[in-house]
Amino acid sequence: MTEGREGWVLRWLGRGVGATLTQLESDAKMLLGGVRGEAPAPFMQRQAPVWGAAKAPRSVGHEMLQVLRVEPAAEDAVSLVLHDPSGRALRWQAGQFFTLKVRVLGVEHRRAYSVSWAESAAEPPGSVRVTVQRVPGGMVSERLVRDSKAGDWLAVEGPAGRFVLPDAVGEVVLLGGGSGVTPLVAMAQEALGPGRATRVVMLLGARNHARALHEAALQALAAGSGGRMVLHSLVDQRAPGDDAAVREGRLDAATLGALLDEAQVSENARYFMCGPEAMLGSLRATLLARGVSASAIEEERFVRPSATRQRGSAEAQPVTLRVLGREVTVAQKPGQTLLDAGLVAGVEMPFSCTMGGCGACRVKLIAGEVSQEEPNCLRAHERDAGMVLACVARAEGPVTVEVP
Amino acid sequence: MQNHSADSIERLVGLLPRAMRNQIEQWGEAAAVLSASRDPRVAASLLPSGVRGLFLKRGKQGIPTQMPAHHLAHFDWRYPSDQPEMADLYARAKQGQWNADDLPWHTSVDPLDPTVALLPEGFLDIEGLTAYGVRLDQREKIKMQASLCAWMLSQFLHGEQGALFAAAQVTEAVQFFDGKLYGSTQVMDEGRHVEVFRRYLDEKLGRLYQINDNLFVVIDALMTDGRWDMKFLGMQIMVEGLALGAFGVLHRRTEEPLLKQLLRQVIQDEARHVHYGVVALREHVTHALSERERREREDWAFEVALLMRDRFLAHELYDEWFAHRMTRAQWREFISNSPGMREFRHTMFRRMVPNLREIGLLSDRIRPHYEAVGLMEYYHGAAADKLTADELIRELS
Repeated sequence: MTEGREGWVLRWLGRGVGATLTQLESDAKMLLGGVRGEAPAPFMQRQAPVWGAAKAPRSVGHEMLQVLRVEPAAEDAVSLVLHDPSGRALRWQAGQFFTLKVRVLGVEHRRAYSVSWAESAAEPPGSVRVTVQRVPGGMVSERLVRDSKAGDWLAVEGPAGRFVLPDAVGEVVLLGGGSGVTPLVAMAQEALGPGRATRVVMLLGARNHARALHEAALQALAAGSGGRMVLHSLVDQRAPGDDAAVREGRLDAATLGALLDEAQVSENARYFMCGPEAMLGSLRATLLARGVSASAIEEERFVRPSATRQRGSAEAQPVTLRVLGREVTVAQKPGQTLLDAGLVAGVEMPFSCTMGGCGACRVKLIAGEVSQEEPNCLRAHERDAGMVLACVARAEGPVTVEVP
Repeated sequence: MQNHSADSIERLVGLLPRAMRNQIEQWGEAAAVLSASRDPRVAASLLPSGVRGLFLKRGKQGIPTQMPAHHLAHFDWRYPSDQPEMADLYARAKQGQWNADDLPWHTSVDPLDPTVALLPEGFLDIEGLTAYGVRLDQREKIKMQASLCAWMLSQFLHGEQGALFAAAQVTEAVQFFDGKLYGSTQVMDEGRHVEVFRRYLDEKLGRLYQINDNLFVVIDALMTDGRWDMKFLGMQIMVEGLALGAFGVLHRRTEEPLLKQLLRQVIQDEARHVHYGVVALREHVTHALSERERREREDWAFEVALLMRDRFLAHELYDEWFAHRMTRAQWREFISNSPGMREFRHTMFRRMVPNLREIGLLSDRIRPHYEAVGLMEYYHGAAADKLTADELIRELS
């Protein structure tokens, strides 16, 4: 064995414990490094995300924001104004949402909340306002409405969402119900804000006046719009103390038609709807029946994560990801989604809400079969084009997908 | 005289570039550890391990380490059943098996989320760092606490790897047949602990700190010692005692629910392990060892206890965070006085000292030494064989 003098010394130091040559070389390297003042790395990076870094470069940001103040927004609802205490201004487009990660009884729940004001209306500038209305039996909304206070920290991802105002649009019709009003408030402010000449027709429904979100602020916005904004708020039922201006009614086919006629909505108007699933379905049918083209209608659904998570294949499945012209094959372990499998293997895949609600993680299925949790936010034409949501899809066998 | 020369060395070292100064301080520290031992026999038995761990840093070289074993596999073709307490532990261990997959792994863990802190504020006296001219902002503070937690869990994982192999060796070497059966369950337990700590670090914290050099020394010394009772004493009483102390503190202090539950499960296993250590060693020390052999173990245990108390000081964290901001001596002072570390030492010795008493390694001869380092206050506590897992958990929470 040719060890050289160094090796001999080391062997002597090691008291002849039968160290191999590899070991002695490694020992020598460590000692020489020490003499040069080099320290071995204190730790190794493992598979989980790097702390404080965005999870994947192409995904939206992930950070801790602090609650600056809590304001009442209606009965059973509060607005949380969130900011980055370091002073950095947060950016978003009216209509987009942030995903709040809230821990209840040790389990993290993710909920998407639309920003309920436009950037130009934010007070202070650069802060985000989300509005949370208590949902009967909803752990997260209950917790946020009841316990939020200034100074709280919230883990937040975003902004995300494709439900945004187009740049140049002459007229928008904003239709919403219940907590679906929140992104519409931001869109109305944006449409009336600096640099735009958009006309806004806003038709809202609520169970009763006390539960109508941001009602006073919207009335003030319409009053100060110089005639550019028409606002009609309907309530299912008037309460005894309600002001004479509160109108009873529902946004059904007849009422909607009458209100749109009354507001003299132009042919080129774009429609933005947000609210409960059933309401969206009936509004959409009414609009289509009136001759509005499907491409002029945008909807935002609030998807709640499905209660029963599908487990997918009980065996590990090979998932081939085409990213930027490269193919990477990763293993999807039992219980993982396509997104989990990709991120764990270090593949850059875009994502945001991870509960099938935002569409940020759409991938195209090229080969193989997946099961997806329903409902989710994929639109009909996207389904037809073979898109799947990586965050709620699990490979049932070998699968190839393209990451856009 | 000694002080004077130490001063001038310090002055000389002060002229060197920071990284090199740091290295020299490190070697000085290692030499101090190796020469601190009062007993020349103990010093000689720890020296080779000390060289491998502190100077060659074998645990940090990034390659696997081969440790030769010198123990004898003890076969007994008569299968005697003469240790009812061990048989009982075996029966309980079979009942106590659990599947690590059943832990709530879906819990998502954000190391930087201050609302679910891995370690509470105040575990380290971070404000106290300003005394050394180091100021951390809010985000760095949270990151630092998370780093310390990852460091602790990494050392647990390295310790469990040692425990897994030591448990296997002891199972071969021990002369009690009931002890061998029990030992087989402990091997399974340690395997499961390696599984859960590795998984938590991999999936939840995303980083694994390298093994602490002093922990490497203890593990190396145990694995290469041919005498089974030394392995036993080192692993079942000392390292498991250290682990129980650290698990207990972390279990009590962390707000992260998955980690809390994981530690609770692990602690219940560890309670059996220490119990077995006490039963087997009490039998062995009182019946099989000569007085000279007993004294040697007594001295060894004392030195190792001090090593654990004084040297297990998160130097890997210092290298990551503060190597360019403060000296190693300042770090030692800071970390050993931090509230979390004090609590850890207290919990560790409250378990360990009564166990040493129970197995007969705290005779009148050694007690003044324990008295001198302030450890006799723990003398009258309950030993592991008198504590059930439930009591242990209750005491921890």
